[in-house]
Amino acid sequence: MSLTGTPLITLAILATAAALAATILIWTRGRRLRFLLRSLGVLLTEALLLLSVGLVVNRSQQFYPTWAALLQTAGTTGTTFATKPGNLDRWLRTRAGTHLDQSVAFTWQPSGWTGWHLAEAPTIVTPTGYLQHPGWLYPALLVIDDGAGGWTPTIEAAAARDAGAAVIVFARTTSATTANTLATTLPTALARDLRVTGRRWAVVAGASDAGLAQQTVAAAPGLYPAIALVQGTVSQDTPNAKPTTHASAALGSVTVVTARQRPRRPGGAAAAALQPMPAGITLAIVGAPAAVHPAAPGASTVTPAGYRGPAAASVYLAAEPANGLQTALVWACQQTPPPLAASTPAATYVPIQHRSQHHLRHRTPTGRPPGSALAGLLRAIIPGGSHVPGQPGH
Amino acid sequence: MSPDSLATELLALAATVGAAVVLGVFWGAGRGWPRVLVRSVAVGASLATASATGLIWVNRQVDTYPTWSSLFGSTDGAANPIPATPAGEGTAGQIVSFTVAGKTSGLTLPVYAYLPPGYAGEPAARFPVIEALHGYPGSPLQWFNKLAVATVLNHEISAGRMAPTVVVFPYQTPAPMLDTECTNLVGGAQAETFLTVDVPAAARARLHVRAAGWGLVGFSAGGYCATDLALRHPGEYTVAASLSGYAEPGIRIGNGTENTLYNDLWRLKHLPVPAVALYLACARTDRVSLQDTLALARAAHGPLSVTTSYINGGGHNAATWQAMEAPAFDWLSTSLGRPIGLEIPVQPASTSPAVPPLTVTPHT
Repeated sequence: MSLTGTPLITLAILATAAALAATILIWTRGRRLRFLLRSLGVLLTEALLLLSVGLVVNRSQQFYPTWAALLQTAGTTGTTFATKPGNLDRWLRTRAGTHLDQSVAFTWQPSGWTGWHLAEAPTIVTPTGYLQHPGWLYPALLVIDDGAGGWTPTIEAAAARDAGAAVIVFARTTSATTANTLATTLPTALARDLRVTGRRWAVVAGASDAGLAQQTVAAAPGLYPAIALVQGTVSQDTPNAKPTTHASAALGSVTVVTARQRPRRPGGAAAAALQPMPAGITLAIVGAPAAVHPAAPGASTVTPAGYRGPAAASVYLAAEPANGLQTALVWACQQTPPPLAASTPAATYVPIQHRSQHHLRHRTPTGRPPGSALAGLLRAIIPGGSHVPGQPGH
Repeated sequence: MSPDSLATELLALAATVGAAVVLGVFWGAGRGWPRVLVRSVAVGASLATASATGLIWVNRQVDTYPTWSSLFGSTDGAANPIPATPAGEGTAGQIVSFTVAGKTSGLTLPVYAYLPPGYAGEPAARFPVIEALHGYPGSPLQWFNKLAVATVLNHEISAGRMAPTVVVFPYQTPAPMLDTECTNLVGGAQAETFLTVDVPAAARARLHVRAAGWGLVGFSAGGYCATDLALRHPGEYTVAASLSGYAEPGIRIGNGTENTLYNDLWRLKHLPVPAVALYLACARTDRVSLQDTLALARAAHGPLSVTTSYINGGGHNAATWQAMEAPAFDWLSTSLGRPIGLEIPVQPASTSPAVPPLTVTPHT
């Protein structure tokens, strides 16, 4: 008999009426037991009345549609957590050797990358500790530039070092690179090769790639809800652009990618960054203080003029050209979640089936591994790249 | 002894039994009008105590009246102590409460806040925020008493499935039986303004939290609230999780907007859609919620993204929401920005049972 069915409700109402009738009948009967029978009759009638009302309300609101739902006990989960390792995890572990706590940079040549119309194979920089925590999933930062911004591998390596815990993909674009490649094809390949999340990444672009970046965000707003556009060109004569000692060490370890100059995209200047985008997207313009926002040299939030209705929030970040990429990467990384363990799988049935729990003894993404205070500061980039023997062929 | 306590429930039950005994014993007492008076009082007392027992049981389920003063319209619920949560060294968050005097909305209501482990030691950090909304009738205490939210948050954060996050639990109505559905009622309570302007402003002023890009979560009516507020205020909220929520408020706003601007299906059809992400969970047996969830998923289109989760069994009750709770918070955390400026990441307890075994089978 269904908990919300008419038969049960009818039965409850009839039982209430019967209890009331019985109470009236026995009211004047009996002698010593009269008071007890009266009280029990009243209580039984009241209980059945409340039960009837409860059943009617439950039928209306569907609080407990079934007996199982009513009798369920929650509070214990018997779920199994699964984290799929990236296809390149083992190769990276081999390459890293004993330096599992360090960042790894390598040239990424996934299957079909030559069809992406990039100037070179992308360079990937994994975050510190990526190999130490095989149960964690990392967000990704996609950095696109056509070479016009003057971002050398040295500058990129230095910027990546300070960005934060995220997988960073540096892609040199050409005029043939499409937003669909960056929004769909590249993320799919990256999710296959590394342990990355499926949502909330960020894209960082040079000024000449602003249009392509915006198209990429428009094509996959759930994947790229944050976009940073870096204005200005890094002059190789700029003192600040010279690599630090640490970055110099990194320079030698990263495959040097020769920037290929190509014509700037029409409208690729900073003004293109203020093209209206849907609300929910966060846009950062990174550049010299006077250039990005004359009225406010610091950071501020405005709504692009001329756009009606909800619009993306814009943030202006002041940075010299030499530090523009680094500033943008730090900001972009802050827009993404930290590395997290695989989420609790959604329950598929209630009451939850109790199964044995196993516990994995590894550190949590938000936890501090022993001695990590120093290790976190000392992030080195070790050799890697397409020329390195042993990378799985795609 | 609060109105939602077990002691009150047992007392009401004892009074019901006592009233029934009095009714049976004194039915024949006296003569004339005194007898009528005695019988009337005894019958009335019997019905009143039985009704009270039932209503107190309901109140214990939804925590609509957490204090005696709340029965008379007072909103001093924040003074009510939150049930203690299992504490471990450094793995338990802290529950605080404060009153938000809403300058914009004109509402003054208490708010609870969950501060994650390590919060106090990180004054320079800025934590992500989730605003948690309750059902109707109900109160934020339902999150603590029936959904054990503090325990769930401690568990998920210590397991590393959720980033250290501040979770804010506001009241959604100035009167327990006034159903606002988190809207601005014409000529009435401005609950939407309170929740989207006053509460964030107060939280930013009192707590060290990220300025924007917050998340929302809610169950039942709170589920509708979460979905609706994310669609209406994408500058404030970027993600929302609805547990057994709805697509429309089901009340009268006063100007007909319950069928338009406050109807999420209408919004998805007629207005520009923001780039926010929704997590919609419900039990398949929960007919109305299932119908609305399916309709929202069908109506959703870019740049809005929708993730759905359906549960067999269950219903529209606390046990079902408890089953949905941890995955929803995990999902929200993967959709929010990270804590900024953490000096020392939160140290998990060495005995934390939170992290299950690593399974290297393909993740589907």
